[in-house]
Amino acid sequence: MARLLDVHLDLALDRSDDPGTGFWTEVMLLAGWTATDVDRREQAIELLVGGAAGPSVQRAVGAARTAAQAVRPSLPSELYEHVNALHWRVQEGGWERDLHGYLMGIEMGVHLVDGLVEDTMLRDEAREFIRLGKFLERMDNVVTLVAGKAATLKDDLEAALEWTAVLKCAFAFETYRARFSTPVAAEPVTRYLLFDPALPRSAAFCADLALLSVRRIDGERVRSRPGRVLTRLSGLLRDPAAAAAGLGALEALAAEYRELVAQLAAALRSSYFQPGKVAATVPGDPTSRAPQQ
Amino acid sequence: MPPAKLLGAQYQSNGFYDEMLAAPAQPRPAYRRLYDRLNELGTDELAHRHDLAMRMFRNHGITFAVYPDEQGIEKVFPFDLIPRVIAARTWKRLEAGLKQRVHALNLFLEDVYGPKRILRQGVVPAEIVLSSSLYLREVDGLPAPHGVRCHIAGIDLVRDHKGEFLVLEDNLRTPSGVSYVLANREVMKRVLPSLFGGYPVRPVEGYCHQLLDNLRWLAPKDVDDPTVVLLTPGINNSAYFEHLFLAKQMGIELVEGTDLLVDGDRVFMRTTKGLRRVHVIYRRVDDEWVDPVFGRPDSLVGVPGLVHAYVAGGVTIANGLGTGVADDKAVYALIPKIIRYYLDEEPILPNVPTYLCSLEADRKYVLEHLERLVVKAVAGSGGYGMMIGPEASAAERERFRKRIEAEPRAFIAQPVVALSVQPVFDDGRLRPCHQDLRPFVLTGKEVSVTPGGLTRVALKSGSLIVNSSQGGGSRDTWVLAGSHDEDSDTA
Repeated sequence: MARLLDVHLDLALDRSDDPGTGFWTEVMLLAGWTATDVDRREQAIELLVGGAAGPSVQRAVGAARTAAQAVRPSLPSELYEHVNALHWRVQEGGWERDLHGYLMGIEMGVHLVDGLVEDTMLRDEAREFIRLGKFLERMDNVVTLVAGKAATLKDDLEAALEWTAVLKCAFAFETYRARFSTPVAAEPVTRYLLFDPALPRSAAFCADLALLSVRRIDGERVRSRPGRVLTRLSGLLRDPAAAAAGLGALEALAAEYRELVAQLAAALRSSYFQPGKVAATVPGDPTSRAPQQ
Repeated sequence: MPPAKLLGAQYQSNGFYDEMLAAPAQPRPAYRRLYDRLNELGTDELAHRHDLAMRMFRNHGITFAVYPDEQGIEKVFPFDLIPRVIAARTWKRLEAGLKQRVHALNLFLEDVYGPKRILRQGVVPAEIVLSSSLYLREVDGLPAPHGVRCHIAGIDLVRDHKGEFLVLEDNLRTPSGVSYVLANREVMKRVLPSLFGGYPVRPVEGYCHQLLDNLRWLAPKDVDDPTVVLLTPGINNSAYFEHLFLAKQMGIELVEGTDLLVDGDRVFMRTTKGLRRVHVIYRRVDDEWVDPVFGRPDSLVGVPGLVHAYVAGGVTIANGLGTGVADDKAVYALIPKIIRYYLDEEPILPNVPTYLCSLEADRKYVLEHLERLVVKAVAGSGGYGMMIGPEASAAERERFRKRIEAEPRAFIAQPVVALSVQPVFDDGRLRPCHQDLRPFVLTGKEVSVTPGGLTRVALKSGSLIVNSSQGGGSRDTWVLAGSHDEDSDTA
């Protein structure tokens, strides 16, 4: 969210023409606001930073803190303390004086969370659940961003700027440049962000890593429902035909993706978050110590 | 320009025993260096360090919730930067007194849930002990592992107008506050490391190691690697931070009632890989809530069947069920007799004189002197359910009079103790605030006392109530090691 806003603030100034009344409305929609008549920069900033009626930076960090509180026994103290400190820093505001600094502080704070997870947590279920959540969310954000932009952008002179912004939202602009000599345009950017298994922000990469976490949680011999649905999702995003089909097939792909994500959400809920379903006769695993939460 | 002096002649102790200052600008020996350093730092620097400390508490999530606050807003436990210093000699006596008291209380518990010799011999009135709402008949006759029922105790001490330590009350059920002892030290070391220079302050980190050793010791002998868990009522409990902190420090699982199930006589923890046997439960849930089959049927934080498993010996619970009878405030008055009976020793630490409203002569005195006494509900805690006579309105005193007459066993009364004070740094100046001390006593193979304890400070001006739920705060407590040139905290 912070990155999306930061990049679009830049983009609005980079365009040679006035971004128009629809520009901020579209940014709001990309951020997840379903119905909005916001068309002014200041209004959009205020809502995306601190809005309570829809997705905002402050709400997202607050929700992350609430989630961290719920699983605090499983988190290293330093990790929880960082999330907590980030929450307080974000709530204190101060973005009016230095919006870019404020947003960068959040972005770097989130990277630090990632680093703490990787560098301080045991390689156990708790870490895998965090990674599962992270990669599913990242996958969804990328698909939403790409599908949303592809549906609204016209093939005009400013499109390259817009697709550059899309890459920057996904921290993928520099790697794109290093990897491709082709101009920044809808078709290659879409292919890169959705299908490239080597890009850590691509939907395909995220689906693979989420699947890996599910397999680690389930154990070698178990094929759970989340595992089965994620295998299909991963297959969809690794399908060479889908990657080659181009923008024309994007809408159908997005629809199939949405259907699978809905199935996945239901599968995750029923498989991992109903502790009452654990049968009393299941033999205990002496290697496992994590209580269900 | 030198920093403004903190503790000049303008600071007044208002006639109370001041633990830091024998007279204006005259620190007691154990506080001399601290006094000088605080003055060197000056008010601005101290204010800055105080902000740092509070930010650290907030960011670390070291908070508590106050029940009447329906918003459930977490609060940082107010903290004062000026540590309390206890000289080695003073601590030695306190430690001996605390060990003596808790040892005797464990013998008492084992007796009253066993042969009841002390009651049969009339040393203490059986009707007072057996009529306690905290006495559990369900565990009568049940042997306790190693003969220990109270494994963790918090004993509240106060200092009177002469500076003498007195026991104010015993907490033998689920005493809380030890996490703040450890957190306060951690914050002090980071925010004001210079204050420690020259002071041989005894560390407090050993508490969690000792507690874990003791809990593991309680497991059945045939279990090599017992599973110990900490049972919490959950995230909305006012002491949740402490539950979490202790579980993490000990490396044991923090579980809620729904994480456990009882199968036959055994207790299991649900895990994502199936069920895992639990051998020892450090419970932070009160007796009545611990099992809906046994206590309150509406308990959502308990484990159905847990008491059955406990009675059958399938699991050890620490503290054991029924320990509350020994911290019933009516039983408190009998503790000097209890110590003499079991240990044949004089109590090292005296009680505050206590009137039992269940005894006719005491009740008569109490009702005639309500305006001078503190009246407490025998099963109350947290500073609730009490009346401080000199501060109470006539209507409040009348309300308590009626309650005492209707249910004399439910109340005790004590004279108002002129609690000692120590300066608190507040809003750029120092003012005297009353304080108490809750040391934590662990019983395993041996009885041990963590050096220091939780010093709670009544931050509201003139208030005697130190409880966090009623505006109290805390400060770090330094127990000095060995013999020291400042080994005296009295003038």
